[in-house]
Amino acid sequence: MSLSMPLLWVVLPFVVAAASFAFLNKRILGIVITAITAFGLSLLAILFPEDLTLSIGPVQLVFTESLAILGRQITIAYEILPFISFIFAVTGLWSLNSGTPSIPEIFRPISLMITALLTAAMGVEPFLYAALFIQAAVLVSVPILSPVTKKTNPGILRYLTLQTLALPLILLAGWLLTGVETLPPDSPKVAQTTIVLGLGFALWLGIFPFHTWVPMVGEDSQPAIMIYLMTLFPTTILTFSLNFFDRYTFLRTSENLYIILGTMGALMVIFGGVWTMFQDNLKRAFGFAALAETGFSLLALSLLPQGGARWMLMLFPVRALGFWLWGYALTQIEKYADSLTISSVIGLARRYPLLSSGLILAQLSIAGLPILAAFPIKINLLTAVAGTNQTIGTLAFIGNLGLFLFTLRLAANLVSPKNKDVSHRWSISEKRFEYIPLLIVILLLVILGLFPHTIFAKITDTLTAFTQLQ
Amino acid sequence: MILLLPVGILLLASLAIFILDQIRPKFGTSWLIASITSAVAWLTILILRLYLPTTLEIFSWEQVAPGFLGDFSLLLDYGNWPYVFALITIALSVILTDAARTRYDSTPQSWSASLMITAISLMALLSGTSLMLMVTWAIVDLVKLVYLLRLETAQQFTLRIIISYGVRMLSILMVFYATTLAWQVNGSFDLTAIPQKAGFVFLLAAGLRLGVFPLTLPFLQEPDLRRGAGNIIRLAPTITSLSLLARLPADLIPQGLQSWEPLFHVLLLLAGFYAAVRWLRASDEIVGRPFWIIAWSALATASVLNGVPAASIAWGIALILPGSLLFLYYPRIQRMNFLLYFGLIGLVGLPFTPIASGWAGFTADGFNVFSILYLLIHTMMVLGYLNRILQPGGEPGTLESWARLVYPLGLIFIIQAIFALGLIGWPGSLTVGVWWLPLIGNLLIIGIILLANKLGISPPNYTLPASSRMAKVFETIMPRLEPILRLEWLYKVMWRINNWIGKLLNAISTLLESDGGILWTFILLVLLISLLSGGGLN
Repeated sequence: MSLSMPLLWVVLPFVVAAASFAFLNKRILGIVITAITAFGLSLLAILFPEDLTLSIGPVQLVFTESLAILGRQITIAYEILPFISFIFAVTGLWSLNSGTPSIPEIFRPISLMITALLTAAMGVEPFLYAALFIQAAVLVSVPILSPVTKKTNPGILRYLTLQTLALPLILLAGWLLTGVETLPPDSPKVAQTTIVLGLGFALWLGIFPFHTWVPMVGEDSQPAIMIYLMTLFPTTILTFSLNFFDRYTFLRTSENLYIILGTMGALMVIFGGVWTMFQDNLKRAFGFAALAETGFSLLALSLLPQGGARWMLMLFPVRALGFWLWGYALTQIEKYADSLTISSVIGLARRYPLLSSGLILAQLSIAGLPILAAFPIKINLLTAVAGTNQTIGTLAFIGNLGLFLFTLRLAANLVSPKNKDVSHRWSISEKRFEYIPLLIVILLLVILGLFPHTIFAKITDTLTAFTQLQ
Repeated sequence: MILLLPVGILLLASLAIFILDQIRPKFGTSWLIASITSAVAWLTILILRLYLPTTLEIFSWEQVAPGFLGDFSLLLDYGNWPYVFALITIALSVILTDAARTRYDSTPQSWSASLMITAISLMALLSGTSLMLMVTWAIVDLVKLVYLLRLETAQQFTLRIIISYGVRMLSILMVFYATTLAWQVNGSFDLTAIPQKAGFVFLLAAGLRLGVFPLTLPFLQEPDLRRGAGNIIRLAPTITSLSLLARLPADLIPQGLQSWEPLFHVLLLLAGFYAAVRWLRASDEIVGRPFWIIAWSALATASVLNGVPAASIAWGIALILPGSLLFLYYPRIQRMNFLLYFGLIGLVGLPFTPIASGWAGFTADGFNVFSILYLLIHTMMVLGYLNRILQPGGEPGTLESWARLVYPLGLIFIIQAIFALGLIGWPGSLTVGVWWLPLIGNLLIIGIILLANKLGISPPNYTLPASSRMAKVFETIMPRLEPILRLEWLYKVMWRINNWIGKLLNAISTLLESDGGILWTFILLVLLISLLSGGGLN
């Protein structure tokens, strides 16, 4: 029997998502179905045989990479499967955290749809059509960010506006790119094309000055949803951007472009880090920290000729785990605190020490504290960046301190007793089902912090899909 | 693998005592486990002196992860053995002398914490690479943070505890940055060969951790960290930083910063003098302990700054061993007071005493005004120590019979370590040294004692009579001088700047996120493009 791979990773999640709408009220069933689908597809992607043939007993399923839809092709190449496995695993992880009442029921089916759309974006031919799929994913995300029962906040409108503005720019860049290949590198059209393309990606990734929607949406939406989207969208868009470097020599060989990427990366790290440091709202703080992380990805991209794509890809899973822990802890803490501002969580660690530790460790892991997951990659990445340009490396290091300082501020508030005159004894008030996932993820973060090559290193195999970048 | 033996033993013992205390608390059994295991660990370290240098490769990122730099290894050599031996000695002494403090802060939990922190600090001391150092520092800091926060009496100090943790975290990040600098020079390196380019940042990291460069004193009052476990918790992080100092390259000040060297000395001297004065005036040795650490650390750091990192070992050992002898000597017993005089041998710095080799650290650049000032700090520290020695003690009758045996034994262990390190601690430890400097210092000490006697000030209270004019001058000046010396004014200015930046950033955020924000976005975009195209986009 012959099947196509997009049927598995694009059509099937859509079908499951559509079916899930039928039993939105059955929370546990919804979680189970979404988690099984997402983790199942993630596992399948990682274990899929290279000859694209699955043997189940006497039945032999032969897969083809492409599926034609409306005159276009969606091709899921074997080489891209590690990345697809990653985004489905992220969705699976978040679906496990979606049982909290503050997360809307439609989150689960919509998360599957978003993952399917982003998978399609990674495989559509001609590849510029990916912009349409990404735009569709953005549109689909709106109902979970701004449920119909809630008043739409200006941040959502800005998110939608800026993300939508990216679409024509990317398509325009695609049109311009067709003629640019044959032009000499110093032709003004090359620079114009690069600017248009750069603007498109800057809008997508929320790069300064297009970042304003990130803290605004972060402040008003459920933290888990925002963090999920900030995990999935930037990683997919950054991986998608590798297509451009792979296909267009003038981009790949432009030294100026790498300088600009490095400068923008350092700027984002400083900008995100410094702004994080001064936040009083924990959800806004996440938004700025996520921007700083985008900066690190740009720094890795700026090292593309020195193998920077590997650093970028390796950062994705450790960041995703850190973000998940951050979102999980915030979602749980939201149940016990009046609000998610720094002043509302004073003394919370004395009653909920494990959740508070989870939140602190998530932030420290993202920031790159030794023994936690991002440390091995960040220290090597910053060494490589500084080796190319010491100033940019130093600035990125300084910017990264912002998240550390914010974490210390938060820790000081979490552990300070609310009333200094009354004795506040430490007690563990968390329920077992609340802290066990947290402990497992902390353990994973520590393992990754010491052995970065173990669990998620396979994601770098994605680079085999980009033949010019290896 | 033998390097892991003492660490493993101590960790297992800590775990066993903790579990035992949770299941069936037995004071005697827990103490026995703690004392036997720390004695075995002590013996192992002593034997390892015969096998220097010993290394143990743990794992390497370079070999398993393509594109990665960095490896983890342990190393015991002449540079860190004195510190390893000193640490394990005070750990053993803590357990033994705790027998006499059963009515105070001596509990199985505190022994478990002591052994745990000693084990992790041993790993930090044995670190062969900066990665190993960062990881172990991070672990020991987290353990210490949790231990301190859980103390019942720490409630009023929570902010101070977090600030202190923040300072140590910053020191780890300095090592992080120093490592990126060093890797650029020659890839992975071990701590015996720190590249000159990274040396100064490593010095800043160690200085921050010691609280000396720049002066940082998060705890003016301490939570309930007094003798036993408190001593380990206070000294273990200090020892690991001192060990790093000894490994720094001789010419660590970067070319562009060499003209700033006098300023660095001034900062160190400020810290040293402030701490020495506070040590002299401290009401008891525990109140003075943070200043004891700062002052000796300042002397150790000065040696490194002068290009003689090996000399810092002598000052480090002076901090740890004679200091611990004093801090662990509680309850005071009149008949045992003489033991403290042996500690004095480890401090005076005369030829062939343990810190005789330390003076070279002040004269490497020739004898100058800084050498004199460092000598004065040393003199004040010894005077303060003498003052503490001369305090009266109580009667041994308050001790249980078994404690009467093991309590002095614990102190004798420290004394033998002072002698042992003076004899065989590190190459050049048994030396005449710059003999005339300690001679001047000791003559000065004798002169001051004689002068004090002439003025009618006699032991045990080497303090000025409250009615004297000098005392009144001190009372007027010191409260005003202290905040200046502690650099609090600088931290306040920085805090104000920080608040101002926060307000500015919030204002910018409000502007960008307001209704007109999207227009601001495009204005900023145009500005950015002009800036970048000016920078050569074409």
